[in-house]
Amino acid sequence: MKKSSRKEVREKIINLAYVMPMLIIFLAFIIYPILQIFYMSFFERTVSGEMNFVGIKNFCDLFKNPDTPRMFINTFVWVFIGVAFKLLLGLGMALVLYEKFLGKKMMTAIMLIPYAMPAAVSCMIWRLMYNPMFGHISQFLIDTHILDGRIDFLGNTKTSLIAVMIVNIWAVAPFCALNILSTMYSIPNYIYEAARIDGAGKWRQFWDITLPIITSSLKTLGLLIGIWAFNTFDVIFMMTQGGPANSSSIMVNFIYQNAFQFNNRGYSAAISIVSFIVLSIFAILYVNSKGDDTRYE
Amino acid sequence: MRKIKTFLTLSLCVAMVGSLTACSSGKDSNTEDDINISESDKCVDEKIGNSNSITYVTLGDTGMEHLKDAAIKFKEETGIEVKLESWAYSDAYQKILTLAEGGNMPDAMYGFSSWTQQFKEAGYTVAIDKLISSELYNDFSEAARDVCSVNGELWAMPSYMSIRGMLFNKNRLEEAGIQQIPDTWEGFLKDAEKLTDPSTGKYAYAMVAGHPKNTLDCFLPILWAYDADVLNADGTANGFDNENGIAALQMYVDLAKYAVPDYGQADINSTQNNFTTQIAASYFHNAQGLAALKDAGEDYSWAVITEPLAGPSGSRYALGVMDVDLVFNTGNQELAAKWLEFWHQPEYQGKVVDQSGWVPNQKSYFESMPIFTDESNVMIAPFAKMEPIAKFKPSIICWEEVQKVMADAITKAVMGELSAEEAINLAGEQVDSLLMK
Repeated sequence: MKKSSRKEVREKIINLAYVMPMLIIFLAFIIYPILQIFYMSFFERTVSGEMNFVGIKNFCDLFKNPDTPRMFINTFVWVFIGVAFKLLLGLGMALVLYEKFLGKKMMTAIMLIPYAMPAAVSCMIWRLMYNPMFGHISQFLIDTHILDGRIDFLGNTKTSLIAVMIVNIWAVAPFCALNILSTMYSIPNYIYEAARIDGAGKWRQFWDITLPIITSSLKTLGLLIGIWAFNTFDVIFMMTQGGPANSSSIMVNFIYQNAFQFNNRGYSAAISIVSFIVLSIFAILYVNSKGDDTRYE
Repeated sequence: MRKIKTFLTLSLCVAMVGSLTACSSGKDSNTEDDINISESDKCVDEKIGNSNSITYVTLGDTGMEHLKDAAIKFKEETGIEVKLESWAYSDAYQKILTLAEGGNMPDAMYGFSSWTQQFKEAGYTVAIDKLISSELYNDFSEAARDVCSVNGELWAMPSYMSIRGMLFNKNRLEEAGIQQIPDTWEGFLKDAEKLTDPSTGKYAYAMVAGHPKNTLDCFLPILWAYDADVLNADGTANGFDNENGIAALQMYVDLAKYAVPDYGQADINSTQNNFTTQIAASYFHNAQGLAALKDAGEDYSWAVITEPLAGPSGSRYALGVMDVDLVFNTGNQELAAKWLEFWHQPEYQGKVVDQSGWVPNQKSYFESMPIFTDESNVMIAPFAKMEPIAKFKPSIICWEEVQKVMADAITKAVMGELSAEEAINLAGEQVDSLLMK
């Protein structure tokens, strides 16, 4: 093995010193809390504040809890179905905005409102719209004879998750549209011109040119908004607080509920670990998806 | 160039280590004096407390003007400043737990009786019977002292008390051809259909099935009327996983068919609004909604207040909700108790009790404020009369979880996800395992 010269060693030390501040921050504020959560997940906090070692009991309790299957199903629906709708809606909006028409700029600005609006404001508006007694939605469905009676969309265990998902999709879809639109603008015009000369119609152009080119970007975007969706807390908390009867709770709500409402720090840490593992898979997929860049020659 | 690089690197490292050290000390490093306080000095500081001022936390804005007034008078008399803080009700539990874990509790705080035992066990609060005068101790009603006592010691000072009964809209009953106000839950259920007409937005009852705390506020009077309870007699297991509990839940499920359909996301304020806006013909609460109508100069003569409805065996209980003042173990407990004793006088807290429509739990309030015993005072007199049948929620360590488990089961039954029996069995198992913990 070749022995490093004194000069090389010194260079390495200096290089290490350069990254040291960032490394310290990373260890102190990211690695240490994560390890602390792992550690806490094996303990139970007594009312007097003592931490008792309980082994994997918190994890066993999590999988024995009758609400756990619902929590996983809700999280799955919230993340995967939610992301699919956000991307589909975003793609639809991007395709509309890609065309030239009168008032396009105004349309773009209007489309951005849901994304730009603070979550508290949009939740307030949607709560009023969903209100069974004086909300527009219920009244509209009754007037059009779609519903016989009033339905409390947010207060019903069967509809609460879907009702909150609609709000989240409405808020995030414009962001997806903007992202997709920027990728579409990067597609050189000559590709479409060549396709038109070859007799390709709009649908064929979309299917054979636009979609393959934006797929890589869609994958990355999907993973990114999937991670966001997994960690979404504000919309659910403001709309339903995860209720009624945990019907709209996802993992993050359970973590919050156990940590801050019931003071079960160990149990909450165990849910966080499960959540961390799932999110890590997302993160790995996200990092890998970054390699599929499209290049035009 | 290399020397500059090395110098820059070292400077950055020193700055980083310095800033991390400053962060971990948890204190401002503004003055040399601050830095030089030794650990032992800090302990002494905590034990003795700050003898010139105390902090008192209240929830919401209720009575803030009178609190401010009392704090000024208290300072004039004793030289002790009371720093008042107001927190939102919804954040209070989480906030106080976070502060208590960091050892930064206020000296005294207005809170809920369900916290008493938990805070005692955690060592956050102190017993107050030795800190207050025997006059004040004896001034509290026996029921109020019972709710605030753990093993015979007073661990919280009874504060605002709300006794809840049934409120009916007599006009709506007359319109529906109901001659007599129902006396039992069964009787009310029979009348409920006549009082309900969704096409005109009129419903028989306003209730909650979702919000954990308020669901139990609405359900407990029915559970008690059916001779079941949250806990068994010795508090070791649930007291509702039986025929009576199932019958009570079935009654609640049946009532939901005639209730304003917002119960899934409603809280107690929504039920109150549904009653005061005459959407609901009845609900279970206190007179705060009527007080709001009175303040707005609107007619509320259509409202009738009655005792809670009875169950099959004739049992009837009013829900008593006792808010408390807690004294924290900050070293200032004597001053905090002194302040609370000053505050708990008819000219200060008594006025808030009157304004807000609560039921006094101090004999001196009844003696010095005739308005509380005046029969024409419909805001308070009917509820004050119900004190002998008032029953309170248990003060147990895992109450927040028990409440959530029960409310979720009730909600699932009301929404048709589980039958009443399945819901009661599920909640019973979960409550038992929580109690064992």
